[in-house]
Amino acid sequence: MRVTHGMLVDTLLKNLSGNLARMERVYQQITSARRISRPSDYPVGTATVLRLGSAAQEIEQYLANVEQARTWLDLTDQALTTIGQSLQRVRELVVQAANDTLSADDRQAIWAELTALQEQIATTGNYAHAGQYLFAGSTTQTEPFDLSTDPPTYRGNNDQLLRLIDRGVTVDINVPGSVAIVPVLQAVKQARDAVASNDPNAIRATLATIDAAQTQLLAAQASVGARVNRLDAQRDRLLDAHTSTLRLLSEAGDTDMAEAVTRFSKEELTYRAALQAGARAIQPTLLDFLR
Amino acid sequence: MVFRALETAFRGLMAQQRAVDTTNHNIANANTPGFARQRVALVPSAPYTVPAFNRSGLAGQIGTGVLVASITRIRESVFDQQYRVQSQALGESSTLVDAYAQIEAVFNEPTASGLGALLDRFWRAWQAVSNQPEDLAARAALVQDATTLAANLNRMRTQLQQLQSDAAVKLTLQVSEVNGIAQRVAALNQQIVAALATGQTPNDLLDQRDLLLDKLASFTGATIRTLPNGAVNIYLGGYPLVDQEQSFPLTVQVAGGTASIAWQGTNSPVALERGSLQALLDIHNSTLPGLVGKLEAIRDALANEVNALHTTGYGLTDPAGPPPARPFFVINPDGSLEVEPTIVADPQLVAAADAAAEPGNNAIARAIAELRSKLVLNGNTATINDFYNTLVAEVGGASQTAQVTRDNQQALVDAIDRQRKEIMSVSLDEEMANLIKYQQAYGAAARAITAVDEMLDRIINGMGLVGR
Repeated sequence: MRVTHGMLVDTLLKNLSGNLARMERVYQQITSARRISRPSDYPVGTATVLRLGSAAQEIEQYLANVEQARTWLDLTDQALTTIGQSLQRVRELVVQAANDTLSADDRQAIWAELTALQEQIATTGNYAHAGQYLFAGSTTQTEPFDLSTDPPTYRGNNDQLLRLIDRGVTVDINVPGSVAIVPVLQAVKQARDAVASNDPNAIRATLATIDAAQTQLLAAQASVGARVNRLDAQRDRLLDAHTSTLRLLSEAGDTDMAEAVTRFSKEELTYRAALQAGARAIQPTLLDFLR
Repeated sequence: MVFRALETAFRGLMAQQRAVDTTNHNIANANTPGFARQRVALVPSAPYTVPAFNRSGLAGQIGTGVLVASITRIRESVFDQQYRVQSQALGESSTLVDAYAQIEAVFNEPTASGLGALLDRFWRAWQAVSNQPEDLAARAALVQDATTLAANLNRMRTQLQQLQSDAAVKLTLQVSEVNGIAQRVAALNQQIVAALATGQTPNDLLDQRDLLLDKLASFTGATIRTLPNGAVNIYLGGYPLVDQEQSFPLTVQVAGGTASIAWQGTNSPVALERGSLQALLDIHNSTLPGLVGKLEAIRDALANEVNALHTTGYGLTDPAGPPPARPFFVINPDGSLEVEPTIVADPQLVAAADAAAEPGNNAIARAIAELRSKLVLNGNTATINDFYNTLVAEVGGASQTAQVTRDNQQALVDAIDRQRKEIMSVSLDEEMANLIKYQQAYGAAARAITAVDEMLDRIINGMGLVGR
């Protein structure tokens, strides 16, 4: 085989540039920590990375939705608890007022406290979170309870507020005021009227209404609790899915550093050797040895 | 007879001189592309038979020295043919590699700023609005994300269209280069035929023509035929691009977004088979329009699906009654996508609710957010995200295929070129050795002249002093 200097130089340049190209690629994988910098590096991997990245984003959004829904339900639960405590106090006062030995003045004092409790319950019903009234149905920017009437009237609607917590899965996060709070306010109003009438029998009769309202309130609280549990379970599920998605994403798209650094060292060694050998191979000609 | 020796030595001097000249020529062209080393073919000149009636006392013929029979190129035309055939495929795949590198740059995936990530942000923004439909900040963020998404979709579409017109420009440039090559080959044919007719071997002209034919191969699937008179004819799809001393120029025609290459004058289309011209035609006429079409499918699906829901909804400030039927996206006459300008101006108009005056109602926002998982493309088998991911994978796959083909083809061309160079390229060592060989022969011939000179001196000045 006839080999000329031109061919040697060609081969040297071709090998060096091939070597540099491989080195550049590994370098890019190391510095970006990503295995794929262009779709053609690994077409199927690229689709996987895009799909998993998108899935991770989707899960993160559902997690954010779950957190937000949970905050709303927690606040609802607190408000209902507060109202429940007020209603308990109402019941105590009604039992006290039903005592035959009480004077009209005593009942007047109880009436005053009941009035204050009614207002407190309605005010609690007007709780807002981040500018949204918790108990207004979907008219979240209107105070649901009108305190200028007696008893306070409900101005909201019965709509559910639905939040996405997974593909095609929603949870309703609100308890419309009409469901839990209006019966309470009506019971309190009834009790106040009975106390004002100063008739122990009428007063005793309102206990049944109060108990019914309390039952409804407890039912609402139980439903809130159930939804909180559901959200917690969903959050755990989403966190698991998120972790496994991120792991798959990392497997598909991240650089295996140990492997990449090893490969880089190998390429570097080859490059140096090629340079050294090349520099010596292309140097001498017969010319150097003639005379 | 002594004078004849002078003549013989002189021939030697001349022949070695020619050999040294040729060696110098080789050395000077050691790095000239397409140059094939040349060799001086030395032959003994016609011998001299001593004329005599009776020649028995004398030896037969007397040599008269050396002659330069020819100066020939050392080259193997079989390798040239193979080189050209493989160059066609290399030209084609290299052009594809370049084009796909640019296309991949347009897609800019996988990154946090690619269309895939922007689609994700868009869907998330709708969920954020559905979480707090009365929140103006969430609405403003949605409008912002939607605007960015539309702008990127438009950018990609425009850039792909730009690549298409770039391909048309490249076609024009390459076709004029092909025309230039054809013209020069025709001109060289003329010079070569004339030189051969006078018995010369126009080595350097042949090298020049071979180099042009090498170049031409990467552009086209041309076939080359050498004629007995030394001219070469070049054919494209059966018709001559070069016929002896005449060349027939090509022209590029672009009509209705389709480019074609035709013969100038007759305007009949040229049948190309391979080479970069064919690759550019494919990219211009099918690859890029196909990709633009798929982006437009994404654009249309996005606009139609979002609008179908959005037009049934109510913004925060919309009155009760029938819905205002406001679209979210608008497709402009130029094909660009944008967010409905009144919504950009007032994000309260984002129709998140399916009823008026219910700021907490998120029915429409939720439904739009759920479009993310709706199968709306590819005959209702793919989500918008799936369709886009597949598109990116397709581009990556085509690009990878082009790269692999290019690399293989390059290796093949390199291997053939190496075989070719084993035969034709100049070895400086070899030329130096030859130079010394010819130099020594030249010196010896000169010394022979000195010897003859001394012989003559002896005859003329040292003999027969009679009469002096």
